[in-house]
Order: sequence, then C-alpha cells, then structure tokens
Amino acid sequence: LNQLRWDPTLREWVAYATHRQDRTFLPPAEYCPLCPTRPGGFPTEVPRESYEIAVFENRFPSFAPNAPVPDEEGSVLTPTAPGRGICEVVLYSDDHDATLATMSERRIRNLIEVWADRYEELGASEEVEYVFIFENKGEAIGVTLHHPHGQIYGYPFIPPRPAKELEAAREYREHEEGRCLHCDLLSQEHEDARRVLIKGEHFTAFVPFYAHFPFEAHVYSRRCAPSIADLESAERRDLASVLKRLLVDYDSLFGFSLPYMMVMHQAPTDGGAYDGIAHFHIEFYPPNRTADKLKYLAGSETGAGAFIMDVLPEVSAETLRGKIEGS
Amino acid sequence: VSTLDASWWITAGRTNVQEEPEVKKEREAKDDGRYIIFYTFEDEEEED
Repeated sequence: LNQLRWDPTLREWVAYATHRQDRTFLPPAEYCPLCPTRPGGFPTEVPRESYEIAVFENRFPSFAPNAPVPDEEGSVLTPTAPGRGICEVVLYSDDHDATLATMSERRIRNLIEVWADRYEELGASEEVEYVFIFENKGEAIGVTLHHPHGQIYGYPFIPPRPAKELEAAREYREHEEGRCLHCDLLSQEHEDARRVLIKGEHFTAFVPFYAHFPFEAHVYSRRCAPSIADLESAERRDLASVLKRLLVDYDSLFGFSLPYMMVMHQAPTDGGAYDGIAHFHIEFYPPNRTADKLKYLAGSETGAGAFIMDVLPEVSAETLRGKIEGS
Repeated sequence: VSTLDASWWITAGRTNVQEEPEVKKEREAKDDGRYIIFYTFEDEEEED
C-alpha cells in the first residue's frame, strides 16, 4: 500500500507505506541482504559476487511507480492520492564494514557521478517532482541495515522542508535585486569565519549560524549550481575531498563512527525555473550532543516545530575545527 | 536475471571531459521485476 493523505492543517502530504513494517531489521552480518551473493551463499539483493557501486529499487518503497488509486477516498478537506514515485537504494561498496568516511576520495568521487546520474534519470520521470538523495547512518538514526548505503526518494511532490527553503530563496531574490540567498549566506560565513570548518577550492563546509543540531554541518557549492548534475568535473572532485575530510573529522569527534543524517537539497524536477533560487548543498545532522547523549526531537521540536539548542554553533565549530586541525 | 539493455558508457557532457571517470552502467532485472544497476569505474583499479 502506497497512499498519500493530505493534512490541511499543515498543508502537507503524509505518505503511508504499511508494507514497510515487514522490512528486514538489523540482520546478522552473514545474512546482510546488501552484500554480494557469494558462491553457495544465500541470495542477497545483489546477484553478483562483487560490485563497486550498485543501485536498486527498494523492496519496501515509501513511493512506488504503479501505486493504485487508494480505496480510501478521503474528502474535499482531506483528499488522498496514490503514493506514486520511486525509491532506490544506493550501495556504496560491497565491503560490509566500510563507511563513507573510510572510503577513498576516488570512490566518493565516483559515488558523486552515480548520484548525479540518478538525479537526472529519476528527475526525467513524469511522476517525480523532487529527487531527494540521503543517507541515514547508525542505529541512533534508526537504520535497519549496517551495510554502507544511502537512499533516493523520487517524490511526487516537493517535500515541505525543501519547499520552504525554495520559497525563502525565491522571495529573497525578488526583494534583493536577484541575489541568491545561499550565495549570500555563504559569503557571510566566509567573512565571519568562526563557523567555517573546511574551505576547499569549490566547496565550503561550515556549521550554519542557525544550526538545529549540535554538530550540524552544511557543505555548500561556491558556485550557484542548482543541482548535483550541474557540477563540473573539478567541483565534483573537490566535493569528494571536502566530504572525505568532514566525515573523517566527524569520526574523530568522539572516537567512534558518528551516526548522522545526510541530505541533499537541490533544484526540483517539476519543470519549474530554479536558476538563482536552488543552490546545491548537502546538510549533515548528527544526533549526538556528547559521546553518550543524543539530541532528541521532543515536545518543542516535534510539537511546536521550534528547535531548542544547548550548544552554540561557534562552540561546536571550534570543537570540530580542533579535530580537523589535529588530523 | 536478464539484461534489460546493453551495457553502455556514460559520456560526460561537461567541459573537462578528460577528467571524467569513465563508467560502465549495466541495468538488469531482478527475479521479482525490480531493476538493479551496476556502476563500474575504470579508475577504481588505481585506488588511492
């Protein structure tokens, strides 16, 4: 069942995918469904003995290309719709124990090629209005499989958070003589410098002035490229280098492989005009506020939508930068 | 597993063509009809 129900109070769709209740949950490593199928071994999702990077349709998709019209009709106030879209799993490596942080820059660079290819292919699909590339890493985030992998959701609508961001950027552009909101934010971060973590040739990693998580980091393209597919070769190479450095430093922060959510924000694929509005960037939200304490999205964050932070971004940036300079 | 389309090579449409890693993209159908795509890069053997 893939079904959308409209919440008129928040003016957003909620996706229902009840079959996901049955998805594989933290299997032992020898029964990992994302490892290659070894000779004589059990058949995994990957019918090969080895692979570099592989992408497949999620067996338990939140959105599906042929989702039927829901039996539940809803009402004028609360309509329903088929949960049509595409959900893919991206396998970063056939090495079960690898993480993005332990991979070579070259592998990350090649992964960027794959992400760009998926953005273009899924974005060309009529039902997909937004290609959302992301990774949930670590049990603290709720991952059900440890094998290094990310996901891609091809949404049949522009999801609320990117939509809000795009609306802000569009209004800023209208009121500030065509200026890009993200370019100006990046300039401000460069000028201030206190929250800048890594300054590559084409990308900058920084803790945003308004971070919502203690060690949140954003990785911005210096050029106003609308999507990952618009990045030039040198930019892709630099992005791989900046990501590698940031991820290694994340892992040295508390001395263990840091859980995080990694999400990419870029231009929707709904046929609209987003030049100067969508500015490709990656956001990382690690849930840890200390080695053994997590930041929970509790009453204020979930019920009021208001984040309460107990660490200033300048302080967490200084802590992270200490790790970077020492590495 | 059947091959849906022949293996093909992504060619770069950007300016620094010589710097693009060449990639082989193979799309196959799984037993239950879902697709799987394998990306193989020429430069992976020169791992840094």
